Amino acid sequence: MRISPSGILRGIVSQTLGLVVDDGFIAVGAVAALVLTGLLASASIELVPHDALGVVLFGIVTIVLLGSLARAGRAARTHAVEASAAERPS
Amino acid sequence: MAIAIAAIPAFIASLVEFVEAYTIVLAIGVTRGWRAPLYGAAAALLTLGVLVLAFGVTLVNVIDEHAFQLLVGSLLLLFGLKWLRKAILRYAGIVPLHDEELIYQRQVAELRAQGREPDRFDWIGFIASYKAMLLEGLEVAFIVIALGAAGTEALIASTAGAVAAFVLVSVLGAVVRAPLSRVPENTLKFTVGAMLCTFGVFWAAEGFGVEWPGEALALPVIFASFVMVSWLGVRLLDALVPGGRVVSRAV
Repeated sequence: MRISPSGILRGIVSQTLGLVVDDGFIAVGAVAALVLTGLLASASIELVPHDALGVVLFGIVTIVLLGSLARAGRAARTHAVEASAAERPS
Repeated sequence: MAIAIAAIPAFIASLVEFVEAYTIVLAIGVTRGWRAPLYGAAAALLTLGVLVLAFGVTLVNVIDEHAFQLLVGSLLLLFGLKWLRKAILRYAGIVPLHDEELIYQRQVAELRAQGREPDRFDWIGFIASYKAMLLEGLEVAFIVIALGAAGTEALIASTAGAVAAFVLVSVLGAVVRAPLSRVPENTLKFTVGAMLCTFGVFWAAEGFGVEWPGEALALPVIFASFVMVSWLGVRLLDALVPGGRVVSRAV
C-alpha cells in the first residue's frame, strides 16, 4: 500500500468524478434524457402534454439503463468467448 | 414524509459505505495498532462534516426551488443510475460481489508487509485510515447534501440517517471485531440506487415545472417501476451471458 499526499489527492479527484460518472454511456445518456425533457418542457408547441414529461423522462432513463446493461452484457460475452478460446489447447 | 425521504436513503447508503471503510480501518488497527487509524478516521469524519455543512447550508439557503430541484435531481439520477447499474451487473454475475473478508485479508497482508517503528506515531496507519474513510465517506456526504438540500429539516434528517448508520457500524464492529461480511451489500446498494433514481427523476421533472399526479404519492410508483426495469435488466443480461461470468474488467 503506497500512500502519498499526491496519491490521496488523485484518489479524492477520481472519487469525486466517480461519484457520478462510472460508465460514460449511462452518464451521457442521462444528461441527454434531461436535456431532451428540458427542451420538450420549454418548447413553444406542446409536443407532449406538460404533465406527462415526468413519464417521458423516466422512459428515456429506462432505455439508457437497459442500453448500458446490454453493452456491458455484450462486452462480458465477448470477453468470455475470448477467455474460453485462450484456454482451449491449440 | 419529507424527513423519511431524506433519512432512509441516507441511512442505507451510509451503511454500505461505512461497512467498506470499517473493513479497512479494522485491518489497519489489527496489524498496526488502533491509535493512528482511529485518529485518521476521526479526522476524515471531521472533513466530511465540514463539507456537508459548507455545501449543504449553501444549497439550502442560496439556490431557488426550481433550480435546486433540477440540479439535485440530475445529480441524484446520475449517482443512482451508477449504483443501480453496478448492483444489476452483480446480480447477473458479471461483476463480482463485494467480498469484505477478501478485502480485509488483502489489506492485512499489505499492511504487515509495510512494517513499522513501534515508538513513533504511525503516520502510515493514520493516512491509510483517513484516506479510506474520506473516500468512502465522499459518497455519503454527496447523498446527505443532495437529499438534505430540500431544507434545514431535510438536511438534519439526512445527516441523522448517516450518523445513525455510522453508530450502528461502529457498535457492530466493536462487538464483532471482524469484517461485516454478512451485511447484504448488493441488496442495500440496489435499494439505494433505485431510491436515488426515483428521487432524481421526480425532482428533475419538477425542476422543469412538471406536476406529478398525486404529487409525492408518485414516488412509490416510480420506485416500483425502477425495480421492474432492474428485473428486466437482470433477465436481459442472463439472456446475453447465461449464468453470468465475472469479467468486471470488460465492463
